[in-house]
Amino acid sequence: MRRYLKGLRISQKILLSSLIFALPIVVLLYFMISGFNHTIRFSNQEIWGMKVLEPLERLVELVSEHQLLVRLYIEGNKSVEDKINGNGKKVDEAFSALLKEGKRLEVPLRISEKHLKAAGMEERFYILNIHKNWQELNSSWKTISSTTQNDGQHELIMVPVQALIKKVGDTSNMVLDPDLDSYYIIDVSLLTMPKVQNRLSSFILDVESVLFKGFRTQTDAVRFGSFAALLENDLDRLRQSIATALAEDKHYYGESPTLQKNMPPLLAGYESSLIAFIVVLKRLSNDPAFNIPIAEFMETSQQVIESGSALRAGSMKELTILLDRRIDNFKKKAYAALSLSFMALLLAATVVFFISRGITRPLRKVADIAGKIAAGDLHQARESLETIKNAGFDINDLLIDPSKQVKNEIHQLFYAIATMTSSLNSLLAQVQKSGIQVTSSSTEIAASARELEATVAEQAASINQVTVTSKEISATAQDFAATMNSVTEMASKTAELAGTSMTDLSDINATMNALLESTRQSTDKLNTINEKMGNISQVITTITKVANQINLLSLNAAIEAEKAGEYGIGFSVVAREIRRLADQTAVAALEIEAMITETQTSVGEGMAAVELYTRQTRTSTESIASISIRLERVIEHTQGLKPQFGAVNQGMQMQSDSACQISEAMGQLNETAIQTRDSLIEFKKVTQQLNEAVRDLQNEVNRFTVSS
Amino acid sequence: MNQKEDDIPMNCWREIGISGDFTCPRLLELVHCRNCSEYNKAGRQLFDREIPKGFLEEWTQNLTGTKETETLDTTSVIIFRIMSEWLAFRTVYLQETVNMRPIHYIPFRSNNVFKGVVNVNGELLLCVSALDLFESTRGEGRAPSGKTIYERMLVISREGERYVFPVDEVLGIYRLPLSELSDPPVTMSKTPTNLVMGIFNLLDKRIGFLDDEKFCQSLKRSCAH
Amino acid sequence: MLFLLFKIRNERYCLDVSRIVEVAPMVIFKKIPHAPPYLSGLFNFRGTIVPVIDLSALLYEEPCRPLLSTRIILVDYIGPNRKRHILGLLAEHVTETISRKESDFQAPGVEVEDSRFLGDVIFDEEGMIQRVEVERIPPQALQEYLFSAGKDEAVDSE
Repeated sequence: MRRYLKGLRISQKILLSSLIFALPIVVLLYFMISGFNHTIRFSNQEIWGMKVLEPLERLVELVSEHQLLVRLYIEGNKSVEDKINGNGKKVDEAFSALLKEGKRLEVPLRISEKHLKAAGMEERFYILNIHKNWQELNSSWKTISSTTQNDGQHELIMVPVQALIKKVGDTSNMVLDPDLDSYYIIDVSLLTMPKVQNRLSSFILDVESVLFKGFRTQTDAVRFGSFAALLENDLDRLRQSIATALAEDKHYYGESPTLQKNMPPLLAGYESSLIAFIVVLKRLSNDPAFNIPIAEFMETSQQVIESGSALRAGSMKELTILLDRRIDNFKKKAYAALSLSFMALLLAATVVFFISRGITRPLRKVADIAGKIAAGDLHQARESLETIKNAGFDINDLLIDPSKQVKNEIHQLFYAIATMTSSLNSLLAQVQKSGIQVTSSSTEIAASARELEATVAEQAASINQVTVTSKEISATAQDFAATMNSVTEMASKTAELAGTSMTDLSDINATMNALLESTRQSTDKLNTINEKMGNISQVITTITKVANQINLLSLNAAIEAEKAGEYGIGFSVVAREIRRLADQTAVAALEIEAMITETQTSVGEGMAAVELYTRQTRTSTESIASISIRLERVIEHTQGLKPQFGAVNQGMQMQSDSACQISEAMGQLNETAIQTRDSLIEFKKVTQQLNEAVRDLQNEVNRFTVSS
Repeated sequence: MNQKEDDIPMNCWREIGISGDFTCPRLLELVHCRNCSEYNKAGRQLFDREIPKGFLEEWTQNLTGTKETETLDTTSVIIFRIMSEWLAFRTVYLQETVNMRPIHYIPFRSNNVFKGVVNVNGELLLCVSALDLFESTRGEGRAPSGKTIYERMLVISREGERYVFPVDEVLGIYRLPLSELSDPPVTMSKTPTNLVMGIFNLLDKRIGFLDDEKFCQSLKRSCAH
Repeated sequence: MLFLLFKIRNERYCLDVSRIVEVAPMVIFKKIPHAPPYLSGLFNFRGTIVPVIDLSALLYEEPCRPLLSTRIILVDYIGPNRKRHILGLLAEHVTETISRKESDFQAPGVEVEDSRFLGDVIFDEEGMIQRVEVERIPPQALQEYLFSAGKDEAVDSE
């Protein structure tokens, strides 16, 4: 349920809540309308009651008249036969109306056989049975011989009709009528008038029988007087009721024009005829001399009955009109209530519609803008925002002065989106800028790395050169040592020769020459070594330059790495490492240089020694050639030269050691170079990863179109 | 030139350091003189030399040109050799190149491809033999003459999986335009062609460009059983 | 933050690397006649003519020695006209960097008019290092002299 509610769109939610609010209104409306309907139904019930009561009342009148006429007939007045037949026809008419209306309204008025049975009324009360009894009476009234029989026969009809009147009076809610005017009219038409008419009929019957007798006793006179008094009383009641009804009429749904117009003349007509009748009665009561012909009396009484009938019928008609007016009134009220409610609902729905549109349309706009932002088109999002200028609302105003209070949430939302867009815009612009910075840094770093690589390759080549040279030096030094050995050997041999046989001077001379040649070769070799050492010195200069450049490049790499920010951390570490390796290279170069200097010193010493020996040997040889006599001295001299070679040898030994050390240092240099190369691999790897990261970042950022 | 600490002699490493009698107290902490600032300072003295001849002219010329920068639309690869086979692998997935170190055999788990574990910077990583993965020719790797060859181990890392494998030589890192890549010929050695995405020529060598995904998958498979 | 270290006479100084374009080795400068002695000259740095100030000459009236470690620090200089220029600074022993936080710097407490560009100081195991503020390096007269494109006449007032 909650999930379903959450899934609804805002307009749907608003609709739902307005429906929920409309629900009690509809319920109230329902109760109100049903109240109206109840009243209408109540009035309808009364009308239906009237429809049935009308023929019933008529029946009461007509049947009692019939009874009277039949009685007259029995008493010998055969002239009434035509009247009886005419009356019978009217009764038939009344019955047919009763049957029709009774059948039609038997359910709402609860007068069907089933209802009557349930109410405990016997079969003789059923309308059909009443009718049957009447038909029987109508066809056989001539056979009636006694008054008693006559009364019994008519009672068979009158009693159930009266009972039905009571019953219908109850079921049609007549007595519960809520309006005073209709209540009094009911009183007139359904209670008083039938009673009066009934009473009149019996009075007329009584008077007529007395008149027919031809004389009046005292008792008759007294009875007539009481008749008159009763009728006067009834008339008063009628007057009062009708007056009340007319007076109250305007308080109930306005004055009924027909009521005001029709009732007074009807009452007046009845009043005058009734008063005339009362006057006759009074005279008959008070004046024993007074006499009136039956025909005249009957005419007077006929007039009273007829005007009474007219009044009753008229009042019943007016009652119907009153009730119709009431129904109309309530129907109008119900329609008014319904239409007002519908109008109110319609109005509410319109308002809800506009409110929801007022919410959803900006929201859709915001969603649209957010969608644009999500799609990366910040530029368009900004443009859309700028086009929104509701009444009294301008995004730019707000952006310029954020201190302005925004009360409308939708405006707040727009403001937030606008702020977000502009922040995002500047952020992305910043990121793009940084991305470009990092890219340029990384390409620079990559370039540095390549330069470094080239430099290191140069270094490696230099190192190779040094290694080869130092190997050559080593070989030359060994050659030199061998030569020196042979020199020493030959010197020893010379000395030996000089010692054993000092005669063979030519031998000595030859050996001396060989010796000279050897020493010359030694000098050459030493020169070669010196030269090669010089070469190494040059290479060291190259190595120095290379190490210097490595230091420089690593500085630049570190600077670029710092500019690349967080991405560059990897580089700064490697750059520092490379710088340290350059320092190590420098140390190695310095050491080699120191050794070269040492070697060159010893080579110089050796050369000096050989030079000296050669010079001395040459001098000796010359001495041998020229002054053989001093041979002994020469031999002594030659022998004395021997220890000096030891110094040369020692120098050479040192030189050989130096060469070894150079080799060792070279090995170290080589190792450094290799480490540098390894570092470079690391460096390039980091560069590549940085590039990838930057490319990713740029791809990501490029999704956004940033407005400048 | 400014000798500020008198108790530290010039070229101290020759006297009390690694080339001397090892009596320098700093050695305990630094292990080797090359980690010492004195050593670095001594090295820096080399840069206090007078500028050699031709240097100024050379650099005056050098600095007039614009700096070369790398292009981004290439792929960076590390190129290495296993026996006679030159191979390239994307640098992005390369984590480190390290010196050869012992492989610790794992009983019942090691097989002809999965060799065991290797300690790299204190971490134990799975060591595989790419050689056996390729079932490469067991012939002698030809060592280029006149050059010292260093065996290395490559640490690769892809999608959180890390492997170490030994190689016979590392050539270096190169940028490779992908357009130069051509399909591997069917006849190309015994390397399973599905591990090689393409071949390219560099420095007179024919180099197989490894398909990083397939390569790592087959490494994973080898370590799984 | 990373700082490039250098020396002027045996004093050590540093410079924020974010302002540095590149470090270049010594080159041959094109001399400017009648220029103040601290202006070493001009050189072509990747197509841009860059003036080089000899910091040693500026501070001690004695130019930098021609050593391998004597290098040109090319900095991003924002001139008085708010325009960016590349300026070369010649210094000795430009071989090392140092990493320090901004908060590690302390005010030296003195400021001499002719060396206003010398800023806050930091310390390491070898002693004190003073920071150099790029914008304040060229003396007032030189700023106009160097970067005012509209002026044809060289103003030689220092």
